[in-house]
Amino acid sequence: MNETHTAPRDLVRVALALLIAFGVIALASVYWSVIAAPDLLARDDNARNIIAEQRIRRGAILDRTGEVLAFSQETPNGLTARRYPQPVVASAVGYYSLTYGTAGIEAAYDSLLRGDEGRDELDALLDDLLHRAPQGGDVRATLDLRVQGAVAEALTGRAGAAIVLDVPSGAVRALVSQPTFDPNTLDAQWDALVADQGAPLLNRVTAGLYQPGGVFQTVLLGALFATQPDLSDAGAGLLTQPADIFSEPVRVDDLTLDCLRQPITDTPTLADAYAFGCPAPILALAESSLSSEAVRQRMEALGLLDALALTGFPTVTAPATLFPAEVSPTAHRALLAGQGALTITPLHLAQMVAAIAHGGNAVSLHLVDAVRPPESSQWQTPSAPTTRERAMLRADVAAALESALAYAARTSPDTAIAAPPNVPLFGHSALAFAGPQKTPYAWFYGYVRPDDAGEEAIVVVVVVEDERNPAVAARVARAAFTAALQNDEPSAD
Amino acid sequence: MRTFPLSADEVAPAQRRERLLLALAGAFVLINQVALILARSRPALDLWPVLVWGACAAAGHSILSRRLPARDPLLFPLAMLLAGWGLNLIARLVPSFADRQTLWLVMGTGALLGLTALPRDLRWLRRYRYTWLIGGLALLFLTILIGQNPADTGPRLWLWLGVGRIYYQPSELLKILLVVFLASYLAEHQRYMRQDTVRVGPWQVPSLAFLGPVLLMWSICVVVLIWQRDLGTATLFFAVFLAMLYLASGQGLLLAGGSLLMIAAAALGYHLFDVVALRVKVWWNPWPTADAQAYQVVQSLIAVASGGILGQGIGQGQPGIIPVVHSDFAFAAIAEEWGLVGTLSVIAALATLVIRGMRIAALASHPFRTLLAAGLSVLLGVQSLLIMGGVLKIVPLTGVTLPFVSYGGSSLLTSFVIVGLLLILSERSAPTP
Repeated sequence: MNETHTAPRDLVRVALALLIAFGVIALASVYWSVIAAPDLLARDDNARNIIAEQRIRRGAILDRTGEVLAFSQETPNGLTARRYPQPVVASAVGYYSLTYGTAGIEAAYDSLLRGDEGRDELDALLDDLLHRAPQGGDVRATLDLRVQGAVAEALTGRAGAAIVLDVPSGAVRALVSQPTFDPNTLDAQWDALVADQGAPLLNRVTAGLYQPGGVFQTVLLGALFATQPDLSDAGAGLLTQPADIFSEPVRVDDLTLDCLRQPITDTPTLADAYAFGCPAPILALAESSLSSEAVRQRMEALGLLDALALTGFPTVTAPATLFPAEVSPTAHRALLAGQGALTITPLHLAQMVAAIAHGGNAVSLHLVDAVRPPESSQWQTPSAPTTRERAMLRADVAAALESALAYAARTSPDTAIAAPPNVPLFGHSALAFAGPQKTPYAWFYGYVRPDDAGEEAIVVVVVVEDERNPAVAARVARAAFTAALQNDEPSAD
Repeated sequence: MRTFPLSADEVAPAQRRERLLLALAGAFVLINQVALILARSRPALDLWPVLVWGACAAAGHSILSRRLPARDPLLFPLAMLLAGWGLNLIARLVPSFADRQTLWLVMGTGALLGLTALPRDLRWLRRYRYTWLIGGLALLFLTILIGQNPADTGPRLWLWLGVGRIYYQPSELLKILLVVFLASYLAEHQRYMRQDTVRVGPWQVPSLAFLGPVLLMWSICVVVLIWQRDLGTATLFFAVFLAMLYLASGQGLLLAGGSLLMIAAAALGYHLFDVVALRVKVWWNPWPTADAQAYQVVQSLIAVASGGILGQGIGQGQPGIIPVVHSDFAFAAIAEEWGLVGTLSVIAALATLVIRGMRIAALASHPFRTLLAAGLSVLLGVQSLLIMGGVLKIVPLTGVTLPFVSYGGSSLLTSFVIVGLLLILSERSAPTP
């Protein structure tokens, strides 16, 4: 080899150096494509995750008549946008947002709606391989769009909550929380919604903590019926007892509680006191015969101290109240008056009223009664834990309370407003006062029996915030009863 | 070294091999384009770039077979495979640019074939080295004065010479002219460089007299390029220069010294230019600024990761998330849609091109031809390594293109000219009069 010419050895060296460099590139390729890939792909700024999410043909949510409450619309670029043709059901259906997550039925059935569950394994694999947009399953809610609409309309402009449910099924026909939001514009309005003093994103039915106030009289009556040894004729005897002290105002802390309205009778009974919301007689009776421990046990039996399960809704329903370990005499009095630290949610109250209408047994509250897996035409019962119908009240206590509710609905003009035409009403009105401002809340709760057998019932619970007139809540309830009974007729089978 | 004149019988199998390889490449490009049309519901008309590609491949093969019957049978199919893959990629990423890229492919093939019509001894290149280099530099200065950017924005305002709607980057041409100049100059002075050495400590280095003109020419290039803030091209030039100097002189010391010089220049650039400092910082640790300066780099790594081993399939990934993916991040887009299999194929194709080029250098009969083949191969190799390494976070990202694949007519044309020259250098049949 000529000394003056490029040596092949040098050419080989340069070639080798380049080859090694190409090898390093190949190794780096392996590293990023395989070894570091899981970490990289899980990064928040991997827009592929969002795009993949947007490609999902999320299933629809329907009401009990098949009316579409939520569906995913394909956009021209192959992605989907969630649409809510009936924003009035927002409190129950919730929302689905890429940015802010899910709520309501959208949250509870997220994996089914996305198609993560209920899909054939092979189909899922093929979809993934062929980049087919995943198809989610559909959900059928127990909601009745007409009832929901009627209740929401009756509550227009007011802050409050209302729930309508069927007994014995426990199916929720309407779930209204106001003020509410439009899930179609959630992303754009989120900041305003969060900042809103009226808390439109708070579900007042499942998570609104309200003072029970006069509502607690029903709890006390139940406790008295259960503990009075001389209840020979199904508790009704207690109700006919004359009340000595009747319309005296009652002082609880700095609050003066009075009858909702002065009764028009010369010989007022305990039933009159209950119907007119007079606190004194029931409080006196309760103070003399019920210890705090007895009250706590009643509340526990009624499920007021636990978080409630509502199938089809995320299990975030607030526990009503943490019962204080030690109750002072003044606190005891406040407790019995439904004031002080005591709070409940409308859902808890609905469960209690449903139990009264159901012979003392709890119903399994649910918002969804059927699901349809992707590419299936068969509706199936959702795989939810079926709660056994727990006894909340003794049957005789429930019957006695039903009598009291029937009497109240007949006697109190405020409560009677709720009665739909030609159907007997069982109901009670109450006021509660919340916070240092003593903001009044008007409660109505009760039920009607659409059949004569006395098996079925339509339960309605209404609370209207910042309202001193109980008739306002009763009017909302009448709208609910009327709509629910109308809807019952064509679909009765 | 001696030439290896091959007879027609020896040549025929190589021709068949090239035809087979071209057919395979054509099948690959066609399948990709059909898959793209199906996946994206594109009109069937979008097949036309593949038809043009096929015409280029057929014309190239038949003309090359006539003019260079004993050429290297791998170079042209590999170039066409990568260029076709690039067409698929452009059609997938920026469909509106597909027509222009196809046009550039025609021009690239034309340039390659045009070169083969010129005398095979390449004396026209060797003899007029100063003319070529000064011409290239003049063109570069011209663009500094009257150049424009087709996008009307961006820092590379002066890199483009507008002629109608076609833009050309003279620095791309300068790359080749520089290699030609260095090969010619070094070949002429090789004998003296190796004999007339001076002692520096324990080492023998060529006398400064031979290096002077080279270093001078070199500095002009580097000054111009730093002025343009195109550090990628500057690094590329310097690496090619060092490799050729080493091959000409056989002095490893020059390589070491040059590397130190390169690191010193990089350190200087880091302190002088914000652009350079930013690129280095982003390379060293992109994660804290993943939503700002390092967005492109991090998104490109995520794209590579999302491809996995087999890739998402053409038209099925989301490489569009990376800003200007079609030029600087073509490699990341390949990683996402063709996966590791795709990137390893690209790496193998480019490495094979480079190694074949080095083989041509080893078999060449004249120092000029050896140095030219080696220089062009190193140019192709280092450019590929720079951009692939930049995408994969091995070196700081530079704005050089991935040869044949990235969008950009200047780059495609240059790559085809390089392959054309290598083909001429590889020809082993007896020269026809």
